[in-house]
Amino acid sequence: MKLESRLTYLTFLIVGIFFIIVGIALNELDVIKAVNANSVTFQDNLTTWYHFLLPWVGDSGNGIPTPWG
Amino acid sequence: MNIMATAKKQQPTFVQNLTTTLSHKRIRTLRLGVQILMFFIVNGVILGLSRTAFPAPIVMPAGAPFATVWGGFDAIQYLLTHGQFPFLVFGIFFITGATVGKLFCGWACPVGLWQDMISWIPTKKWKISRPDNKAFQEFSGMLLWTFVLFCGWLGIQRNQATLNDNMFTNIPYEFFEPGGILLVTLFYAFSWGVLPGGSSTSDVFNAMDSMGSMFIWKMAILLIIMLLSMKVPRMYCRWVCPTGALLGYVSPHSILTVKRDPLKCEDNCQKCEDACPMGVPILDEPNDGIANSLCISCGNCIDTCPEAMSFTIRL
Repeated sequence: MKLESRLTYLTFLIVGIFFIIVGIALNELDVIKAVNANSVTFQDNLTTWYHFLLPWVGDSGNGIPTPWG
Repeated sequence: MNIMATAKKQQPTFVQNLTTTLSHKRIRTLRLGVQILMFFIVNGVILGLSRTAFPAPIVMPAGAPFATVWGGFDAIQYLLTHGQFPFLVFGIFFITGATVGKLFCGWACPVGLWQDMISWIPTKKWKISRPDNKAFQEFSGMLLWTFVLFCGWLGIQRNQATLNDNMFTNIPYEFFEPGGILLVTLFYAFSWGVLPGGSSTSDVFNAMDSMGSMFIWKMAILLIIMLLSMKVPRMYCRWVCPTGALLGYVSPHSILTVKRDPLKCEDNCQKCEDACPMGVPILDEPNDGIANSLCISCGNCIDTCPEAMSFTIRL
């Protein structure tokens, strides 16, 4: 196997581990955890979950809305 | 008499034929079992498993009602649109790609399983030339970076508080994604009564009433991908999937891969290439291991030619 390929996967492994450490340090998963279907028994969270589902179920019968309103 | 007896003895019986066939398809059978098992694990809430925020390197729509993990590309989009660079998700993709390549595409992805099942439909498959396959593959990379840039821009807009919250502003690619259509749109379209939480607020029923054009759009996408996947196995994985495209930048140099022993190859034989669902030009690949971003380590080539093909570890 070429040395170049070895260096490539070693580089990706090192960068990957570094990125994971940075991601954990920045509490990235907390952003994702904020949307949780398990907690939708509360009315506010149900609304949050419903808004989160919009890309799959749509929110308009009169054309497709855009991010610009 | 003796000659006839010898000839009869050499003729393989039905049982021998069946055994040989099954043993030659042992990886394919094992993979199907793993795919089904993984389908139930990633949708494990229905079995009582806990929902997690773990971003897995597969296509798993974040809005799926029974999802135990987040699809990696969904997590990338959601973090970017909320002003956060997805270091953790990229890290998981890099490590996965560098160690097992695109193994998860072949053995764990629910959309991969769905496409494998579609390809079982007995229709005449289209023969895609190598240059065409390579050219169409570029589309998935373009799609990946287009959505990454778009999500980054949305994140900036959100931080500047100039963003209206709607279906495009969290995970925009889900508007096109067949896994989301199968596991989320269809589920909620037909099973609103089991919306998580079990509540029947007016919001939910308003959404159902207004789903009309969205539902038609999603079904059209699903139908197109299904029809094309019948003619081109794993068409979506080959040419469209941004998750696979991201893994594909790392996977050609993965530690686990498939290799071919050219000394055991017969002349003019290309059974391995014919068996490959991704259209990898195996005969043109290096002998010490396939270094092609399309290879999903499914093992179909090994099943077809166990003499020359095998999994290998490149250290």
